Amino acid sequence: MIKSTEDRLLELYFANLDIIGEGFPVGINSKRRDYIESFNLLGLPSRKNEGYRRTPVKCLFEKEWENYFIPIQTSNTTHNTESCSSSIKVNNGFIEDEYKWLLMDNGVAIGSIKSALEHMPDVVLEHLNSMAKSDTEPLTALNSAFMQDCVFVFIPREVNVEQPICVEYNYSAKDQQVMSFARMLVVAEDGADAKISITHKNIDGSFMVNFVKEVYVGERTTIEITEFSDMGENSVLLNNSYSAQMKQSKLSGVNIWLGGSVTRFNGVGSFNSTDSENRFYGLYVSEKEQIFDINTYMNHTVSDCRSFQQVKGIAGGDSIGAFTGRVYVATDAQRSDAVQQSKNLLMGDDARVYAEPQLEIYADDVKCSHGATVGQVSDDSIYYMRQRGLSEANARKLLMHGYINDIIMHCSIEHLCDEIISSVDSIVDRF
Amino acid sequence: MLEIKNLHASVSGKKILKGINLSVNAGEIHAIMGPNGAGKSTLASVLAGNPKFDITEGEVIFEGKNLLEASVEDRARAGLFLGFQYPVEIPGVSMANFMKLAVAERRKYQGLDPLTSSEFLKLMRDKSKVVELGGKLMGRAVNEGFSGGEKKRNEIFQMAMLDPKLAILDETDSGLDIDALRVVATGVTKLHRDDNATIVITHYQRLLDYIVPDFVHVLYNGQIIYTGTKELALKLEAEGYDWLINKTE
Repeated sequence: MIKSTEDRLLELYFANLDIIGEGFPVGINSKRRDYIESFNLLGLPSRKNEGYRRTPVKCLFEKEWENYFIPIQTSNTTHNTESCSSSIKVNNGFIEDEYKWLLMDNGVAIGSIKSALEHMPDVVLEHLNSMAKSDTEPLTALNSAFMQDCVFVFIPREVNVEQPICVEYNYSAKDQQVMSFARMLVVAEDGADAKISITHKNIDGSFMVNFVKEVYVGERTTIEITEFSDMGENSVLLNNSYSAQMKQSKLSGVNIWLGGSVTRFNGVGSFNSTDSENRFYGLYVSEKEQIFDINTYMNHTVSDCRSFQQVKGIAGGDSIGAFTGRVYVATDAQRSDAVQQSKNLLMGDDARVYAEPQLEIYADDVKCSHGATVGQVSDDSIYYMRQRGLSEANARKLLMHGYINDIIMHCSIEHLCDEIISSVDSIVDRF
Repeated sequence: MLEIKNLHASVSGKKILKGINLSVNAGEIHAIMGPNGAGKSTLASVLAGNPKFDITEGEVIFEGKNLLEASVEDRARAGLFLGFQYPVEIPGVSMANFMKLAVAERRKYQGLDPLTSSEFLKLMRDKSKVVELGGKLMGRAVNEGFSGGEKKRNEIFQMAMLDPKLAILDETDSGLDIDALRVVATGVTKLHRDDNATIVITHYQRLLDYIVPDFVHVLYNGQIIYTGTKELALKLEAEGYDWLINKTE
């Protein structure tokens, strides 16, 4: 009998259970059973699953990926962290030794979850896996079962962190094909204010990264996250991000997706209490045969919350860009204000874009709007600019910059914004 | 400055220009009038280099060089400006960024040093006063949310910024109210010098009260059928085109 991909993953899990659970308390390890069972029941999503029509997940897992349960020797990377208040580097999902635990004077802590379990176990146990939906999302369940390390970022109450906290996920494996799990937990207590930058870079080798992020935003707290992924040509990034917001909090996220062969983002936002705001900005630029499958799910279960989503895409070559944005407004979620915009630019005859706004509204005193456009670069605009002396290339670049500016302008971490603009430019130049 | 010889042009196989001959010298203002469909806008588009049009015959020399061989941007850099009849909106592209690049290209072509940031900002401020657009322009996206009149004024603003040798204004007066017309026309007149020239394409005499032409050409059915002075415009306004068309047929 041919083993299914799920069975092989289950075998892999059970064969390495000891090393996976090493260094974790019983409280964490005992729950892994639930996660792996959940994965077993749900199975890997295939194109038949509604939410996965564009991402060939099952096929991706069928490739020959290596699995490493210990950190492997990786290339040295130097990144610009001058403007960061603190930073942390992760290699193939494992936090590098020198970043295992850093406690700042203001009480901000950043490091590995294993260190966090020693220093502030209550915080970790309260929030880890509290937001991630392992019972309904198989990839999240798999990540939770296999979790060996996790970036932990803690901002204590009323602390305002001026400079951004920089988290770098680097993936490096020379010429191998590696499956990696990576994770992040952010806990921002009441009244905190911080900016976090997250990058996913593929130095060498091909990776399938299963990444889960949980962000807890306390009362009156403001968190801004800028996440930039730029994986290698043959790599896959499966990103499941979850957030929970307490009363009067503000969470804004700027997500830029580039590179990789398949990038799937699934962002689930929840309001636990009233009068909060969630702003989500996203941009993908695709070429060749890339697939970008962006999904957001905004949960308005309580009243008086505001959500705003603006996702833009530029699809060239034979690529596929997809945005599925679901906004759910519960019966009691009166005075919810939800705005969703999906704008997409097709750069060639063979690129395809799928834009699917979904509004599920059960309350009757709400403001919800959604809009989706798919179009091409305006020839008239290019001609107009050329008539003022701009070369066609510069005219196109100016147009593209203008197009993506709506998203990039929300990036508040300068060195990262510059890097993003330059990466996007080099792709746009190829169109 | 501009020498058009036997110019024939068509679009999607349909012949529009059927042998245009025109000479424009420095310091001159030429008005081109004519009924709809005559080919006035086509002439403007062809001179600017709009790729939609095919040149089937003829040549155009601009400042001693073959204009038809040059790309759209090279023609512009050499000092040819087209005031569009329907200026496009370009969301996301600020007037400031756009003009910065355009002015830089023009200056590079002219062999001039690039402007410093403050020099450029001053230029933007000064020229926006010419068309009474003031603060409205600085951070705004190109023509975004502009009324018809504001768009036309923005065309003249760009003309002021780029200081072209030859400005072709394609029905710049259409859709303008009396005040906007005055502002646009005054702007154009202020920019007129002995070393530049303007071709004004218009239906209406009133613009020519402000921008007094040295020559008035009537374009009909793809050809210039008559050339006169500013009095011709007045007569056309009073009597229409028929008498002239009948006369020349």
